[in-house]
Amino acid sequence: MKPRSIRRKLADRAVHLLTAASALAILGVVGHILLSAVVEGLPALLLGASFLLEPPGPPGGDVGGVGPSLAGTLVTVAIATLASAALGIPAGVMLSEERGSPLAKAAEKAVELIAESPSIVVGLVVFTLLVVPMRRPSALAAAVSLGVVALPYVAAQVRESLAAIPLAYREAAFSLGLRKWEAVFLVLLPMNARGVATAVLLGSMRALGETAPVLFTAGAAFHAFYGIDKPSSTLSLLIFLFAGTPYENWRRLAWGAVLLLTLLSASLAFATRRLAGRVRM
Amino acid sequence: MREPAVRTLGLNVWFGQNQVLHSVSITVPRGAVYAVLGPSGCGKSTLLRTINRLVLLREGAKVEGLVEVLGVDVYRDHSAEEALSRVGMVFQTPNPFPHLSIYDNVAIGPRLRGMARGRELDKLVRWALEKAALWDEVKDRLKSPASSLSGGQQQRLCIARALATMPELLLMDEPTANLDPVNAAKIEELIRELSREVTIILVTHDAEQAKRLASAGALLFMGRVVSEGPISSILSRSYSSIIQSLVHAARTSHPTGKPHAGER
Repeated sequence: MKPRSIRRKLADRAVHLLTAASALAILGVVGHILLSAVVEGLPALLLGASFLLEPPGPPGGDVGGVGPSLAGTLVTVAIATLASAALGIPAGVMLSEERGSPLAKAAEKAVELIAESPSIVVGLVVFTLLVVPMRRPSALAAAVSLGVVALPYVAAQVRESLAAIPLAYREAAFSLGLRKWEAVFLVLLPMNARGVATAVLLGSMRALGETAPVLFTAGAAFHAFYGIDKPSSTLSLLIFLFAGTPYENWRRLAWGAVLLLTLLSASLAFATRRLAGRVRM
Repeated sequence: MREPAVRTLGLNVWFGQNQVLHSVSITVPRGAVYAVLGPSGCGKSTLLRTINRLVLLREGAKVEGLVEVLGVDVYRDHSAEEALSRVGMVFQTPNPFPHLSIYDNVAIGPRLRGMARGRELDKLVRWALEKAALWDEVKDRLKSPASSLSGGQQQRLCIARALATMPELLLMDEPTANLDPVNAAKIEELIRELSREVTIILVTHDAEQAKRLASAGALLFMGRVVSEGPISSILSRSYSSIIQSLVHAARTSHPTGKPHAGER
């Protein structure tokens, strides 16, 4: 065999090994995270209904549960999802259908700016605009901050799902004698309803996992859910504040919340993949 | 005298820097089957899409000149959308909406435009499917997805979808180009039937098909109208060499040597 051929074969082998090692390293990290979440979080999760419904135990006492934080998470994520869908779907439609227009260009820049901003900045802005005037943090303020963080993901996904509709179907929709926005909202969007649903789910996944925006906005009401306009908490906030305490029972609670949040995120991700996989064009 | 169904005057169309139509002037009389003839890439489909403004869906499209449809300048008048709502279109490749059933594909236009509801809508769907010679084949599976139909059936479904909006003008962009000879013959028969009630502009590169179906037409070559008038005069008089090449292209593209509707 010629030396050049041997060199090429060795280089090929080296690149193959390098890519395989990278893939294994990523798998190792993900595996470690999942394994830690299961091993550390399962004991708390196995407490069953008391973990899901009760408030945390006293420092150094019983483990208790994440009930109020789970309720706060579900309420804030639901409101954030609705808000981001209500604004993000029309925004995505405009970005797709009016692309090139000055308004669409400005909207595109605004969406990019929000997506690229550190989410803690969003939290601080909502703190200034909502928490200060209301004189208290609340589930509503947390939901607004999470909705703003989720918004660019929904808008971008809707834009992409509309752009993916082949010109042939687009022409068919516009040849029905409808006005432009009727054709877009009543024919093209429903045609790719799964793409839109995927966009909304992606937004809610983003809202579910965020901690920074709720630091200033949710409050720290871990012992009861008082209502939408009252101080609240979320699972991610509970993890952030409880995991660093010296109390064993609170750290166990935080790990339980980690596993619960992971399961919720995985369920949403699974649903998103199922929907995205079924998008027919 | 009634105004023509379509009139263009000095029509120029560009895609970016590329000029596709050059000063195209045609007059389509009402009640006619009007053929737009020419070789592939001469601008036939662009002309059709300029008539109903679908050309504007394409990136970088620019239209200049007069396009009058059913008496309305569709690029300047405020009533353009109303005029265009009386124009239907059938495309070269059948494009039924993939997320809708056979019934809903036909019902979607009248339903969204508030033309009919309930039983009235059922009647309208049946009428359109009968007109498109598809009713007998699909009446027992109206709720099935449109994608379950064969290519020829899908094209007739698209014709039914266009007819359900009760158009006065029907634009047909090589509607038989992707069909086998049997289905192509069915569509041709349908065009003959429909021409009694609707003005039809038929884009084709098949001179024989134009002769069979149309009474008048225009011949396009490299984005320019080289001849317009009664179809017999277009096909017999000037520019005979272009026509000969079109006929020859149609004949040689068919395995039997006999040209049929639109096969390339």
